[in-house]
Amino acid sequence: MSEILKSIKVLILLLIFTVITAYFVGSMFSAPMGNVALIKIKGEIVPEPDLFVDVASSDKIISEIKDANSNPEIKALLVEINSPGGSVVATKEIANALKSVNKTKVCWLRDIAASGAYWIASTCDYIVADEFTITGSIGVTASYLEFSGLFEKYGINYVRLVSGEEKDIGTPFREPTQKELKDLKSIIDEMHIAFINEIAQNRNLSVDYVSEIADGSIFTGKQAKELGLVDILGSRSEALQIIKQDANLTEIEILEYEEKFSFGDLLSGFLSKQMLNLMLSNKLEIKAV
Amino acid sequence: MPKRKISKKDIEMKIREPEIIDEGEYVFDIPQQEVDIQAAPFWRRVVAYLIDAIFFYFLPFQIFMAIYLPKVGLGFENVSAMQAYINAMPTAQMRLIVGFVAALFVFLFYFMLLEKNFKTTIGKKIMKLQIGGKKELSYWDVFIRNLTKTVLFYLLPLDLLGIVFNKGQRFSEKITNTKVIYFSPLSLVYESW
Repeated sequence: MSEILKSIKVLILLLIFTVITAYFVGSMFSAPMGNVALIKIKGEIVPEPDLFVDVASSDKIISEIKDANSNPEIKALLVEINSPGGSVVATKEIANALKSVNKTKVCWLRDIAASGAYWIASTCDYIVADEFTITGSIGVTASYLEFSGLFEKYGINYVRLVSGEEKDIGTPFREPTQKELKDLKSIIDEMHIAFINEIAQNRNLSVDYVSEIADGSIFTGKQAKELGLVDILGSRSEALQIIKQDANLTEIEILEYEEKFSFGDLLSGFLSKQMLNLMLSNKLEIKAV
Repeated sequence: MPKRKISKKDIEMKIREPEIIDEGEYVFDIPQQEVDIQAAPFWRRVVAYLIDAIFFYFLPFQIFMAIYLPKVGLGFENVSAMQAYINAMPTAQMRLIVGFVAALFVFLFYFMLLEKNFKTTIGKKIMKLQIGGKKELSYWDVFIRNLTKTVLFYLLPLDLLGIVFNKGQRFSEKITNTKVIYFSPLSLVYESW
């Protein structure tokens, strides 16, 4: 009898352990649930994440977009944008990733969705913005500080050793030549033309029309709607309403991707900031801002 | 000396606590000439393991997956629906793998619990096997000797090589100084290895 009791106790213990393990491990790896994926694009658009500054990393956003696209539970994407724009390449990467999604995409513009952020928004099926959202700024900018005058004032000479005439193009230590300025401008113009073509194609507008308004001007949401750059004036609720209608959903459950940092991310983030402070270098930045 | 008739009760009582003289030898109260010790066939241990695996699959594993899969978004009605989801969703495959790994730990716990309390498992009991070599098995013993059968299953082929070199003991059994004994109370043939 005692053997039978012991057997029963052991069996119960085994089952309890099974249940606890299943519950505990399941909770650790529980899948986010929802039928509408919320993709947030907040801050300056850059290729890689930054631990200390709020940026819209294209690596992170693209992985969320791919995840939402491959998840059969997700029927639509709500792209929330609050960004002044940023890196041209990172912007294009996100825009292309969104274009490859064959589900309903509704973009909700918040405080600011300018330049590259608008490029991304234009890839969505619908754009919803508040009447006071700042958008537009369709253009490309590049700038750097040039210290040749200051060096001359203090008798500092810049000794130039280059293998090719334009090898040190963009150096802050001397005045740029006319050819260099022309070359830099051609790069900017090339990007600008690509930007205009993308907007025209995405928004079903003529290239000429977009070229006219793509002088870098910013618009309010209301102005943007009049220009055909925004579809609906409203907020998140309007955006969700459009999703419901377009994707034929009766209920909406938002799936929000959480950001998780590993110890490695923390360490590399700290070190990269330290390196940045130590370097204190000036560099040429090209942005779609 | 005439052979006395030994009853089943005698055998059960006398073989319960075998006394170890030196490594590999077991002394019982039954006269030595009536005991014929033979090397046990490997197949008994394999069949015992398969029986344990089948039992584990049909009870603890089913309970585990019934709780785990819905929690990780894989609670589908049938396997083909789940397969289609996993094919479409790379992260789902990882969740499934994690579930299987966690289930292996439950399998390890099954062996540990039963061997610690009964010196045998369901499969071993059916195949008339028992853990010998020590009077009392510690948790460390049952943990080490069952690792390669469960969580570290990929090391099992290496562990089994020990049977060739250690007179029937796997390497993990050699470490814990345990052995799997076969005994049949209905005959006087004791197989140990």
